Amino acid sequence: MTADTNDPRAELNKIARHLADDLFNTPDAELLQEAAKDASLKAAGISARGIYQNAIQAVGASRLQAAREAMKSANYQPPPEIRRFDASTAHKIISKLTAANDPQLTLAARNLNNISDEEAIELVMELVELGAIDKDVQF
Amino acid sequence: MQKIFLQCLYSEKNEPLVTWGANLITTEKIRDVLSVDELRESLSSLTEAKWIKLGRSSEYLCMGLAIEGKDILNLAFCKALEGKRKCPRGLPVEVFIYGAMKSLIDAYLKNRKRDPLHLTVKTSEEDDSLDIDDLQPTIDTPEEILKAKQTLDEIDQTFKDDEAMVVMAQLDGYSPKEIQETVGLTPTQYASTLKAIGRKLDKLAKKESLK
Repeated sequence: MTADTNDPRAELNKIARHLADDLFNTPDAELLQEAAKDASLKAAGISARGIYQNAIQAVGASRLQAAREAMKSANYQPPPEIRRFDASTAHKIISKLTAANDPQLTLAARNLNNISDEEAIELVMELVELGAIDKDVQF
Repeated sequence: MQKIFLQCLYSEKNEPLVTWGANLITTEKIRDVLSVDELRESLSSLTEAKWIKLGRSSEYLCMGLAIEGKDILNLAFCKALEGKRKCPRGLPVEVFIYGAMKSLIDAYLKNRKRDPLHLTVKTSEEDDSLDIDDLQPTIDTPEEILKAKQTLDEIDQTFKDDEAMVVMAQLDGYSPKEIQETVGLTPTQYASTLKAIGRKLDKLAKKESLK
């Protein structure tokens, strides 16, 4: 015991420990006989069992939460940094790919050499995002 | 030679714990503890008498403190179920939980001694010291000390004869055997006296002035 003997809380705790130790040394059958006459003893047992059930739920819930957070962080992938192409570069890329009849481009895209700047940029960025062309590609 | 099982052969850090030589197995370092699942299974199958022991002892241990028995019992269960406290194989689980509560109370008293500093300064990295931060005392330290002092005064006035002598001997740190010898009680008389003390303390604890 680490408590100070001058501290009344520690003094009380000494008495408490003697009582609790004696309780643990009491044969179970004798204790149950006492509990039959003393409702507070029975209530203490019911309360302890309830506290245990709550503890199981609390620990289970915190484990579940920890597992969810671990899964979340394991599944998290930062969005790829996609280089913003200017319209001229985007058109160059599309022209080059269509000239090469690159299968990475859909038929519709191959017929769209005259698409708008915005559409060209969007198409190239989609191809980068899909990994069809390298984001650091030089044209 | 002690009988050992395969599961005992490695420590938690996966270091081999047994050394072989001349057909002897050294088992001194083996830490044979229950897994969390085993502990949960054992606790779940406790009998009514064991639950009574845990419930009532938690109330006793918090006597005169600003925390409740149910809180210290809950904390002991949680730490055990989280695997932060390991139950040695062979030790009855209710005794293990009881020991955990006593240890937490020690840490609580130690921490509250340096209150209010303990709220802002961590001077110890001991597990118990950290664990008891989960407890929320209902009153401040000075009030808690005053309440304990009042309870001791009430005890002083309540107990007479053998009961008073037993309480005095308990406060002086005598062991149960020494108390029986000093006061002149048989083991049965000592047990009866303790029960009488317990009943009177229960009544005291319910007194509004000491709550």
